Amino acid sequence: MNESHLGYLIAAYAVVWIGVLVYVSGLSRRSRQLEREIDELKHLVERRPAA
Amino acid sequence: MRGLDLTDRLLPPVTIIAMLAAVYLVFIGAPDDGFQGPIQRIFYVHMAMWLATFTAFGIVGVASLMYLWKRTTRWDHLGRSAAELGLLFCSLGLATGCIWAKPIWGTWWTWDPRLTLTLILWMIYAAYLLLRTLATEPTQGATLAAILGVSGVVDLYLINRAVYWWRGIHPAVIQNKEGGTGLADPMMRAALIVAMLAFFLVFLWLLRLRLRAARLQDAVDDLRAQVAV
Repeated sequence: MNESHLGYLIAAYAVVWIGVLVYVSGLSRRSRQLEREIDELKHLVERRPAA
Repeated sequence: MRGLDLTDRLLPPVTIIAMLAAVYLVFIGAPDDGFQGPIQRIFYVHMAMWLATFTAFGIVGVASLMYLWKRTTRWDHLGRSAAELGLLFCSLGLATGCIWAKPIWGTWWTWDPRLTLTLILWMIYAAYLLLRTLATEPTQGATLAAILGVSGVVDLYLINRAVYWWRGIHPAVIQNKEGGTGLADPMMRAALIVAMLAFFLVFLWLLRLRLRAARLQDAVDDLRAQVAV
């Protein structure tokens, strides 16, 4: 086994961790956005005059 | 973050501990394979990706069946969230397989039965998520996707059986055709089990976070409807 093949090993683990981290960062950004939107909408609902 | 229960609080530290143990066993504890050398260590993460993929798509199958029966958003959310994660882990499983294949087989890809069926699996669940995104009528999109989600389970079974039924070059790591294991050394088996457990915990953690995002989206939709009235 050629030592240069170590690059493949590093690449495989890097691909997995980068893939998982990209997904997690996208998911947490989306959740934060939704939380902000919920706060804004709740504020709007509370400010509305009672029917 | 809001709405985190005990499981949500416990999962991250337990997952991190399992992952540290996996890193130790994979890179230090397990010996090099006699034939493949260090490249064989790709198997540990590669197999872990498939455990998460099969679990995720299995959940999609069950949740899809339940959605078609009960028609509740709870099952729809579970199916969609698991499909998203299944596609992520399936993509990573295919990528790590290609990276392993290049130095060992001399090619990134070959139309081996198991590889071909796995690519079909990826396409089925990519179509599932596309249907959900492109459907103009959400209920119709959810129903069509659920039918696809159930049919994808057949492909899962075929992938599992492919190395035993057809003449291919894909190795059987856990149990070979003769009934033995592809991993001779006990530390190799320990590395595989702990790596699979660690990524399974990552999958569970992500699934809970994804389900929480789905519930937040529901809350946003409800509030928007209240504001619009």
